[in-house]
Amino acid sequence: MSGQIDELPRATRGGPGTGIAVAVAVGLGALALDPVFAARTWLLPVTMVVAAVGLGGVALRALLDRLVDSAGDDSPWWAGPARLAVPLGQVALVLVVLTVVFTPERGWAGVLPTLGSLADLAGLLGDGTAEIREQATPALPLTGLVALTTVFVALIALAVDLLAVPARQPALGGLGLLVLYCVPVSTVIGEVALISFAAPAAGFAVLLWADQRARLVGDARGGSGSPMGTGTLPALRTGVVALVAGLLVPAFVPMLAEGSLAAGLGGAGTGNGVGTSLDPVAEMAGQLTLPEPIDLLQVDASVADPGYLRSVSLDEYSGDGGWRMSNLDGQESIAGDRPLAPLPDPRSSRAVTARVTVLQHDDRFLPLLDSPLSVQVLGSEDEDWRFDPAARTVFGRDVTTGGLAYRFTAQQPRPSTAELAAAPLVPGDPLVERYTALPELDPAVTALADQLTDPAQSPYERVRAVLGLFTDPANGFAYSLSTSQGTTGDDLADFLRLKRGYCEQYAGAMAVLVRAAGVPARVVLGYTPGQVGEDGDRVVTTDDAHAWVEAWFAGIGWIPFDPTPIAADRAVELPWAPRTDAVDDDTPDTATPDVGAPLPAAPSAELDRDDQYVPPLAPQAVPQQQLRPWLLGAAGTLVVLALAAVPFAVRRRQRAARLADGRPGALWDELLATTADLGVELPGTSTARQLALELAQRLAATDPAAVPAVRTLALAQERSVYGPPAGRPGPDPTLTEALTTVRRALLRSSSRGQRIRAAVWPASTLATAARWTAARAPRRPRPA
Amino acid sequence: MSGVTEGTAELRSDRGTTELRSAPRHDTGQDAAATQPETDVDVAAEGAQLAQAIGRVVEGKPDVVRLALVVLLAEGHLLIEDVPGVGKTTLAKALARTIDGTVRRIQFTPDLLPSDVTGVAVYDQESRAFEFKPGAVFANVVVADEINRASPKTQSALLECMEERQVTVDGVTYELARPFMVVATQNPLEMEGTYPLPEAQRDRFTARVSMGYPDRDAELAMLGGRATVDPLTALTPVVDAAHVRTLVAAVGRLHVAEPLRQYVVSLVEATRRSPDLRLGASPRAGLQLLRAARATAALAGRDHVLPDDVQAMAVPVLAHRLLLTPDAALARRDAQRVVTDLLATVPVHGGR
Repeated sequence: MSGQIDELPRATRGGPGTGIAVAVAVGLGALALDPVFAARTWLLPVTMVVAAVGLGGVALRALLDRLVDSAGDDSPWWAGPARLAVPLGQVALVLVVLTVVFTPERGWAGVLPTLGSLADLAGLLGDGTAEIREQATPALPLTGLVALTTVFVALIALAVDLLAVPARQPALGGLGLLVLYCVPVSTVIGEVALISFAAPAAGFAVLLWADQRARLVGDARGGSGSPMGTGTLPALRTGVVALVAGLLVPAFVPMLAEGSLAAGLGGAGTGNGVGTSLDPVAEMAGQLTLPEPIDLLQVDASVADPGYLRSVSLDEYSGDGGWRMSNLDGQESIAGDRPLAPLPDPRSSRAVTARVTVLQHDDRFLPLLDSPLSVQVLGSEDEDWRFDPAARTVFGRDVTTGGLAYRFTAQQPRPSTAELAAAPLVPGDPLVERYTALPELDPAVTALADQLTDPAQSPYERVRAVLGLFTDPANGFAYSLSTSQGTTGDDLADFLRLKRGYCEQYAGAMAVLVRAAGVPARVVLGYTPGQVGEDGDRVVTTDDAHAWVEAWFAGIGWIPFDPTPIAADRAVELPWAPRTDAVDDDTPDTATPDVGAPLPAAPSAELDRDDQYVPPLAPQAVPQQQLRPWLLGAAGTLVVLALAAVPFAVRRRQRAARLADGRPGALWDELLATTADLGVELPGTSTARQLALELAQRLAATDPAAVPAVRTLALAQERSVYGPPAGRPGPDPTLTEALTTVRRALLRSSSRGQRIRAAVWPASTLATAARWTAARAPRRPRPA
Repeated sequence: MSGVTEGTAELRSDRGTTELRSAPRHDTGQDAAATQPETDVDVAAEGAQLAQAIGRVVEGKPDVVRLALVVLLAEGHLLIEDVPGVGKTTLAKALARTIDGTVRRIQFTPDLLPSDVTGVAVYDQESRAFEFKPGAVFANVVVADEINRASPKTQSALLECMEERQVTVDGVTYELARPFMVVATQNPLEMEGTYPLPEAQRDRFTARVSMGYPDRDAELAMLGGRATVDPLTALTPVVDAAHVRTLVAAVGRLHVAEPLRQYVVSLVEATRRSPDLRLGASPRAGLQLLRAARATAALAGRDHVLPDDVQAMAVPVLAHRLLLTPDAALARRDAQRVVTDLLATVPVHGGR
């Protein structure tokens, strides 16, 4: 028995291989953060702490083992507490690295942390927290942020090291790498770089390889040759499976996150539009709002009241998803002399020319006055800019407006009320068909449209009637930065009933009602013309982002209508749609939608809503809502906990199933699983007898009654596998009883830690998976 | 017939030749197995009797005795390899003595001819015809002493008989007796004028065993007992040849489960993959390993074979067939060690 006692302290020995594998794996996993930063200066301190944790752990454990060995045959009393000291030593090493890198001037000899240097470090970390709030990705690697990142990675390295080496569950260390991978996924805007995915995956493969290797080395009793390469294939295989699963699962997650929260009417879309993939990151960006408006455009127009600057029109309405943009036709470039979008009747129009200098606007769509005839983009190839005649939108092909200037001429429609009223309805016109298409509406909405309009009315009268609903103060519509939470489940019906919202809801609702009344309509996103600056030019800021409605009249074309009660100084006077409610209210329209109504990503991140024309790199961007990260964090924690509980649940089910089975094979499997859970090392190459003998020796001292029980189980197992079919034993209650006895004895002979580990992280479930892959790994005959 | 000592007082050689003369192609073994009713033979009890009897002569070596019995019941041949004077020949003789069958002993020398082993046709003046004079292999137990002293030609004549269990002389095939077991002894020391069995030839032997020096008590007892009377002379047969055939048939009926066959194949395959080995085990090795395991299980009184039986037999059955790579040989590894290591790496199918 003394030999077994001697084994116990050695149980901490995962060998230096596992410790080094942990360092390599976490180092690879940390590479996932690469896209988060704008420069690579963060890499050195992170590598240093990872090395400190991994190699420090290896060194400390080797030292400890040597001390225990030199203490003689028996395990000294201090061996247990000393093992606990290893992580503390690793923490100390991390602190030393942090001191050297970040606060050498306050540290003792520039190396050892002192109270002062620790206080400095805490200050740095505080700075880092602030920098996280202030910066968008890719972030500048400012000192505080790097310090925070370093501490974060160090904690992960510590956790992975603890899991892999003392707990001997390297595969579970993959959770740490998962956390690292989550960072770029949840912060980077747009698609996540390949390295964020590939590096942690490679790290995970390294961990699995270490796991496999540890298992094989543990099994071979001084076996021939080194089994270094043996586990590589299963490890690679598992890594690939994990990678594929990792690719597939996130494809479904955003639906969960967004489906139930989508409350806005405005441009929602799932990957339609111009092909930006659905991306949870874009949604995060939607939460960035601006305490101070940002100057976007400088407009020098030939007229004093240039009217709305149109960016893009949303022409498809789906009940749940709101308004969105259909695919743009990119065939036509803006080069050439042909007028882009001439009005059908140029008599009732006025010509406008304008020159726009882009300040901080950065978007694919050129904000233009309606209706553009010619556009010249300065500093960019004409071929890069395309014109979609249906949407009357000029958009960049792989280019954005950032830093450009452009000139354009436009023909602004100025029809008289009489002309509009005279415009007939042309049923059967494909354009009318297209722009009056609606999904099935809430009955309340249809009823409202019927109530407001009359088929006998001219289209113009119908549009005015619908407009009146929103602009007549008697109807009680009021501007609000957020929609009120409704109960009907239909966002449109809720808005029409609760009458609170911003331009997006107004424009969306009006366009639906106009369509319901049979008149072609669409929602337009763009800007109000901004304020006149000192030099006479108009400056358009983020506060000017707006949404309105265009209705189509035969022979006249698309005419804008604005149902939103916006501030008088922003409003554009539309003679055919006079406002009766022009409020003198300087509440900026843009502002911030409430987080309670987060909007799904639109065809393009920037086009999501009228108030979202936010330059993605705006350094002043500050997350307005602090609650969301917490919620995300809590959800992430829950997911991790749920994942961690999976082995436990699987194991419980397995045990119940085996006990219910009652056959010797099942019971024997259960016995072996129990030993594996408790960390009892039993070689996989032993026969049932040998295993039983080993167990009996282990249990003889503490629980002599368990010895015959083990024997019974082993003999029954043996006979059931190798015996003649006639004599094979079936389910037998005495066997189940024997198993209970042995299990109890095993638990009694184990330490509390082992019991807890067996319950929480049953190693057998993981080992089963590993064996499953190992058993199916192809064996190549080696040439003799 | 130099080098062949006819069975003297203790060996009844004449009976064997009589049988042969009357029925040269008489296939006693298979007929006996076929006609033998399926009675329950207590292999374990009879094996214990045999072991006890041999154990009286070969003292302090129960494992070696047991292995010899296993080889007998597995219808195999045994190679005893050890230094002179540790009782190789005594074991062989004792084994032969306990079986009430024919026993021949061939002392191998460099001038021994193949015909001395197999037999020769001589011209009979009276009948004016060639008559076959059977060689030394026509017996139930053939003790081939110091097999490495004979020329390779003679060695291979014996080895062929061992495998085929028949002798062909002048186009006539003579079936050998059943049971037929060759117990060969070999001196491992490099000596002049020896022709060590090539490894490939050793494949014919089911198992190789080393006697090893007896422990102190056994040696003391031996000194005491041998001084007065040779225990071999006191040995009386326990079973006859026919009954041995019954026992062998009973062993052959033992149940071998599918996982066990897989385990044997895995083990044999593992020797072929081992980086330490130039030559792994042959399919015949696998067959003989399973036979030996069967006999082991039968001697233990079980009606089925366990991986434990295979593991117990793996070293004696496999080790002498394997060729180490020069690297492994330089590293002073030996075949026994390689097999032991393989046992520790090949998972037991179904057992775990």
